Amino acid sequence: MYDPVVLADVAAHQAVWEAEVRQRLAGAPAAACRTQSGLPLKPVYTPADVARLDYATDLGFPGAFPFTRGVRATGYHTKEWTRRQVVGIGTAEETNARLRYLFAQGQTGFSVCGMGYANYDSDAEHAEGFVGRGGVWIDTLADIETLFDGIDMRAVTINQIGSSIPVFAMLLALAEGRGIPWEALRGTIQNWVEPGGQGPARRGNGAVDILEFCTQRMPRWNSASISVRNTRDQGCTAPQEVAFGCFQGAYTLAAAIARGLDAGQVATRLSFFLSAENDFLEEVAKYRAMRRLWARLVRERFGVTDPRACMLRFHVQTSALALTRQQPLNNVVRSSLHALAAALGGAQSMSVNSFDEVLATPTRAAATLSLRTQQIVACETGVTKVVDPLGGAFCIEALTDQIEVAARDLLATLEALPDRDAFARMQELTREEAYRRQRAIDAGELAVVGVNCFGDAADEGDGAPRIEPLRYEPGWRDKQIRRLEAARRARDAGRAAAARARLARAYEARENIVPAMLQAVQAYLSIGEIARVREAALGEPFRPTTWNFGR
Amino acid sequence: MDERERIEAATARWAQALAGAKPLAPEALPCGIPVEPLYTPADVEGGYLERLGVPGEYPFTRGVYPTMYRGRPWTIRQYAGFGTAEESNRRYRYLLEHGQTGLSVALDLPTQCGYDSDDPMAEAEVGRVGVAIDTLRDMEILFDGLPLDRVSTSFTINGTAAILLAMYVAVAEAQGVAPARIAGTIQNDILKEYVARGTWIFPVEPSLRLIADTIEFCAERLPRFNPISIAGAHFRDAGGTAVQEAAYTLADAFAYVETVRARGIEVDRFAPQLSFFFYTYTDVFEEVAKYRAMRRLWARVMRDRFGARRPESLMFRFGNVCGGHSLTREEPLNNIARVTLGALASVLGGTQSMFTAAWDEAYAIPTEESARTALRIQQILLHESGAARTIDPLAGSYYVEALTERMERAIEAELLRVDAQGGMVRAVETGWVQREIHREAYRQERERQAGTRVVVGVNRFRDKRAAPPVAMHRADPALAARQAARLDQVRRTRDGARVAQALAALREGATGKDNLMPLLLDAVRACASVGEIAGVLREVWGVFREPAVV
Amino acid sequence: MRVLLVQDSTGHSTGYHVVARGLRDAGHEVILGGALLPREIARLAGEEGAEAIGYRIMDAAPAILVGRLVAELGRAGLADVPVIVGGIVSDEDRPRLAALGVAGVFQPGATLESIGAFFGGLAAARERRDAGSRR
Repeated sequence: MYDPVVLADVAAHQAVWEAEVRQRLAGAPAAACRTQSGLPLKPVYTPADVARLDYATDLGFPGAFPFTRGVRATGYHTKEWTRRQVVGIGTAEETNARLRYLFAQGQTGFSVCGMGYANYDSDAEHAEGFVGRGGVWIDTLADIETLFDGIDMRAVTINQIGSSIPVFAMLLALAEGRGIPWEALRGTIQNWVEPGGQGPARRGNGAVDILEFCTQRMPRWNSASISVRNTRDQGCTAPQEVAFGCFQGAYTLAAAIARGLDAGQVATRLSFFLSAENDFLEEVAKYRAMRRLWARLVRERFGVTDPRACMLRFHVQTSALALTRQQPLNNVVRSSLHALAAALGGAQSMSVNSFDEVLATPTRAAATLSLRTQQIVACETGVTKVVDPLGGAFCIEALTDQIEVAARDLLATLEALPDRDAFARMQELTREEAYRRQRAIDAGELAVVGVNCFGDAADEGDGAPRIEPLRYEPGWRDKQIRRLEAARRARDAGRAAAARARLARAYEARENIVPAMLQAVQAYLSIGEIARVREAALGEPFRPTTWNFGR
Repeated sequence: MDERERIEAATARWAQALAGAKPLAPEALPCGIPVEPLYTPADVEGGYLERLGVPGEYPFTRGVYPTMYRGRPWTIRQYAGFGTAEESNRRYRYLLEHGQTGLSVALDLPTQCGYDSDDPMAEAEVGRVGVAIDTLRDMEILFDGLPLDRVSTSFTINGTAAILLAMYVAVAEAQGVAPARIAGTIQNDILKEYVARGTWIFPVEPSLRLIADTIEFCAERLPRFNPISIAGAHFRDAGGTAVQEAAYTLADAFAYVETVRARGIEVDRFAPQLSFFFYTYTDVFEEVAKYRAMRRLWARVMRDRFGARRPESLMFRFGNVCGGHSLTREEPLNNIARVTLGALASVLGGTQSMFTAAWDEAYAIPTEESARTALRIQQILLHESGAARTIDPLAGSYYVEALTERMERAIEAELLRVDAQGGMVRAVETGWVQREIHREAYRQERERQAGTRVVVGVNRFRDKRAAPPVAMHRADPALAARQAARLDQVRRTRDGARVAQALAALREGATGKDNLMPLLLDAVRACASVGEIAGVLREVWGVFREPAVV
Repeated sequence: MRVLLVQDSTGHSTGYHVVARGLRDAGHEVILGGALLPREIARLAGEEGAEAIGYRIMDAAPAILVGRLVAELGRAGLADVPVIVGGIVSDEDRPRLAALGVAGVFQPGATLESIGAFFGGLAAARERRDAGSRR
């Protein structure tokens, strides 16, 4: 972008300056010279640091390959990111009330956690002490009906956290009941393919079933929201987040092709779910690097040329790992910075974690403050006025390049492994990083304000911190059991039995499970009952899970 | 076709691709500068070394010091002070204990306007917006246990700045600290007081003389002390735009430089001790561009117009505050997010010292807890966000660089308008600057009421039922009486003859041309009060009459 | 010492795995039990001869689950196996856990060293007690 002669001059100048700085900073802590993920970070970046980048091929224009500067040509001018605070508390009634409140306050997307995480019902022994914490509890379609009471499914985009197929079927059933064609539904299901399934078409793999069903029946629904956000929150680094996401994305795409689906069509409906961590500059670079890496990967690997298929569209949920129990209002500061990084990185949708999330499920006031944080970033900081406002910044472009290179190398390593080993390797790397991170915090090398520096003895005293976390209500379980019993009483027993049999046959035959599941939930079979049918049909023992049942 | 032309042609193609949709209109920054929807390398002007260079070198666009925060972090300097000296001293110790790195003293209005706590003019104001300082005794208590060779202190004081500076030097002497070792700043920027803040006392000419006296005194005796912090913050919080804030502040600075030079003092002798102070609001890019543009402009004007040669004279060093009018009374915890974003912009803009306001500022003086959260904003930025690990990290952004150029030109254009009024002193005396700012404040208020300028929780996204926060700071009703009693006690125990002699010498000096600082030092050492000293100067110089401004 | 590490649920287990590795590096023998019901925890503790149980409970109302675990341990004759709770515990739940006989509570922000040292203390106390009973 600059004349080579000028660049040489700049480089020479920078070298002199760096030597001087090195001398002045002799003895400064080495940690300051790296990003949070451990990438080398120079004290200053100049045009000499981005000389090898070519504007047209490496950056290009928003809305055009390789999408480094954003997937939409018009950026936030024509559509701001969706405000999609995660909600999930108590039974469907409590969550519905919270959702309606937030919609009235300016929330624009639906995102509920807890739906179908467990493979047992609220009246099971396992559910004692669990119902309504860490998300909403769903037993039957009746709960989903309550959850959406007063909410227009066509007016909001729906994000299903967790990839429970029974819950997905309940959403379809509810739409059908309301006379809304599935083609009209806009939303996302958290879904990605993992090893498993019969034959090359992976029959019996629920994740592929969802891909297939959505691709054929739901043109406006994102059939795969590939979540690496939770992996990041388990401790992995920014380049790992990018590499793992691209690995899972490519794996999912390959599985869809093996099932006979069109790569371009599936890729167009694939999206990502990413984190936003503390290192502001690194995070902005991360989103840009991942857009470029993904676009190149889809085009080079899968030969897809439709630009929409090469676009990395993503939702961000800000980090929870970075939040602290100590001095909880400090978390508002952290989340604000995370949200700004996500906006500068070009997120399509966002959820900002609440300051009291480390104490309990957020109170209504805390959830509203998170929504306000998004609104302040959107309306008061000016980030929506210019597309990719940090594009060209020497530091950001250099980091973008570094992250892309590091992630590409790691991706190659993962892809050289057998499938199951690759998935295990990602988990192993993540745990190593989490441990390294905790050791660094304990040693004071990674500063966490209020925890290993700037603590306050008063925090551990009586009455501090002076905030009121939400109290868990043990009565939610009794209420939920009553709801479940009422649904069982009200259902047509014959229809339920037929649906159960039909579901068992579908599992045994390794059919696409979604149609049979739809009938099962429409007959008001509960998630626990469905899980037992599945185990019996596949000959698997009952193993309780509280996370992502039914993939 | 060279690279620039190729990119321009591609940009045109990109814009055409949008034609199906509505063409994107340029939006505007809060200051009115329009911004394009997209910036590319074709928008970057000028050579890198000429326009940006490396940190610590002319034109200092990328920062005034070569190592910036890698060498030394900005000073965390929370503005604090209320009630009596004892209470404020406790708050300073609390803040220092929690990691604050510099002090910033808020003074009550009687002290700022030159009245004692027992003066009828001081009624209902003693210790309200800041700490009450009457005599050296109060100042000693204020800094009790705070060694002045180890902390740096900023005083937001203008009309009586010279008196407070004299007291600070006297406290240092009493602590056994050589004046040459004390560090800090007095605001001492009277021109903006006439326009926006209102704690002026004397007419313009003697006020400028007093400022020149302190500048000269510091150049000779207090090499680590900034005798002036030319403050645009108040133009901004009175409703001025970022461009006005920058332009009028620079205009004030040039006026001070000319005043001191007129005494025959070489610019390089005092310019290194000039510093600045601004508001940072939440529009991140406007703020970053403002600071980068001001650095470049200052360096150029000091070099080319005033012939400064020492690099230190060309370095635009500034502190800033985040808060003020960017905060809201409604849903006050939202202010934590706002201050955080402003603070990030300040760091990306290269600040030397920062005050982050507490979220309850619109209600009351911060509680210990809200003050602590405000402090933590800076610590999280410094230690967790990584934004300070590399210098001027937004440099090279097509948008930020284009905006910096644009901002610099807009500030220059506004400076020319000031020149057309006959310079800043004249523009202040005639009320021109006041009118310009009032007009802008009115325009912004209209925009807020119309909802075209969105303020979250106020004119959009507001839950009217949301409860106001709890746990506010409560003022102490017995305060004024306590402070008056102490003043009375000092008056009864001090050497009356020595006071009378010092004040008489000051009266004499005020009519002449010699530097008043030695006489002020004598007076404060004798425990003459702020009101007594200001009273003598008022007798000799009279008071400023505010121009009628509509 | 032989530490059985279990959790209440399968998600959000960053801390669980970090603590497991921290205890191992502090010289303890760690058995990863995963997500189990209280009665399953008690059974596994007996089968494995656990000398302490580290119970990760994500949030909400830990006393419900810990109360059930303590009762199950009593029934299994393992009342002397100390239970240590890790996770988000509200101030008002702390006395409840203490009343149930929980030996220690570790919340977010605890260092690995403090956790390792706490288990080390338990091991030392156990050795002293064993030595005393042998005498």
